[in-house]
Amino acid sequence: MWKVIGASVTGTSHASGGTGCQDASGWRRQSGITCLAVADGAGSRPLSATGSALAVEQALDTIAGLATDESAPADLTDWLRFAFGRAQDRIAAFASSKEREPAEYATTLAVAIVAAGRVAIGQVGDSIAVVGGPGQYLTVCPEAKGEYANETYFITAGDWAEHLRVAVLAGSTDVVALSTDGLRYKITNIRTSAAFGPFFDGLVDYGKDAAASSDGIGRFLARLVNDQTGDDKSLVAAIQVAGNESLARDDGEKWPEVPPADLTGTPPSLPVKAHG
Amino acid sequence: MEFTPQVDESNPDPRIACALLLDTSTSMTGAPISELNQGFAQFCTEIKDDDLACKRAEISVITFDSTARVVIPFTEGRYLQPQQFEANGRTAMGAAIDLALDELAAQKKAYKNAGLEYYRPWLFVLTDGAATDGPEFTAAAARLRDTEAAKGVSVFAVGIGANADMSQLGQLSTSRGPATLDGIKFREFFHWLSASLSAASQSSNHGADDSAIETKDSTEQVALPAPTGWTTA
Repeated sequence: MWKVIGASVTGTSHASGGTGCQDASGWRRQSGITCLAVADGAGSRPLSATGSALAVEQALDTIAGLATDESAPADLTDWLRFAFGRAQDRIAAFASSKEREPAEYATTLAVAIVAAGRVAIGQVGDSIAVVGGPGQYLTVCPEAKGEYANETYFITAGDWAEHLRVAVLAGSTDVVALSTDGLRYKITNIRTSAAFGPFFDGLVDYGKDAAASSDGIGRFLARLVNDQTGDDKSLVAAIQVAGNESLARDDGEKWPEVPPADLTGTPPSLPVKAHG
Repeated sequence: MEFTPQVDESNPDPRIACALLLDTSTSMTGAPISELNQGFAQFCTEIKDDDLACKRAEISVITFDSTARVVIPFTEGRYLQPQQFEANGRTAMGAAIDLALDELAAQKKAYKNAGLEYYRPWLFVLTDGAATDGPEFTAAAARLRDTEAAKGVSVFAVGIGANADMSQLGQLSTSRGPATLDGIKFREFFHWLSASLSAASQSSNHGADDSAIETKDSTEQVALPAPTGWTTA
């Protein structure tokens, strides 16, 4: 059984700048599927908080709809591509209704679908997606870095599909966590993008506690003042709280660590389908 | 149970490189060079007052008179020490710009090698006259504009007093016109610079405004605050 907890909080620089929280996050359970989503609205776009909220809502609605649709394709990659497309359409339609440009609602989007024995993760932009268990966490398809900090891609751009990174991981995992880049200094190595194991150990332990709550995640994020970014922060995690599924893949092999040199590619040796 | 996980405290802070190109030609003799020295000394103190800027801002000083030289290589704000600049010689501004662009490129490479995130560097040119290395200046100005267009640097040109060649300074940037220092208000200028570096160090305002790789947080890599307190109207 999966417990899902998560929160988004306003970053210190956004608070002092009066922009409010431009991150959005959420999750949905439907027909045995658990779907998580986080989105990070561009700080430079005043309407991006609406963009990130629309993206998360539409992505979750879309996946939930597919989960109940018996004619839906079985391929989770297709689900993700469809959900990202619907999120983009939703923002474009909303922008049009307000006589605005979609770029004014610019946002990143990350969506994880947790199904039996499989996890599918799609990302456009600099989100952080981590799976695994104690001693063995994997950052899934981190974005290749531009020259400067905080350059990224948005789903509102016309060429978003070229920048969609999708990975389907077979096997089981103790945790599936999505975060926006506001936590990158605290939960990953910024050079290699490798997940910071002790943090995720703590997250898995916390999730297994009966009192674990989204408020607890929110309090943690709010306490994290000196985070080296000042950015809004989001964390949504599905944590395995019952059952005896081990970390081992279906074939009994262990998941490899992220190779430090490969910041762009999909993890090798995994049953991964990658796009973009 | 409260969620108090261990977080990674080992990631180094992101950096912002700031190159100051200071005219130390003969015409700066007297009050101007004296005020420049006092202003810079005050800047060295002020930058240390900000917990983030003193770690994240790295400042280099290149002086130019008959030649250009790096008098302070890129140094974290917390280690920055005052220096007494002396006024003597002609105005090799072109050589200074070339040198600064070389230094910035080397610094970016060092950041990359160290795995540091960094913001678009700032480059300031302060002069009270006109370049005396004409052909070199023309080429260096073109190189600077190209670097700016490629989002490699944010340029801020400052004319000191009435004799600064503002049309020449106007050639240094296509996105920002030159400003004029009011009299010899170097201390006001450096106070503003220190405050600007503090603001940049505290914000997450560092994206680019390219159409493919879009702005994350600002229309400018690091938005320079509007000059206050040191420019003429």
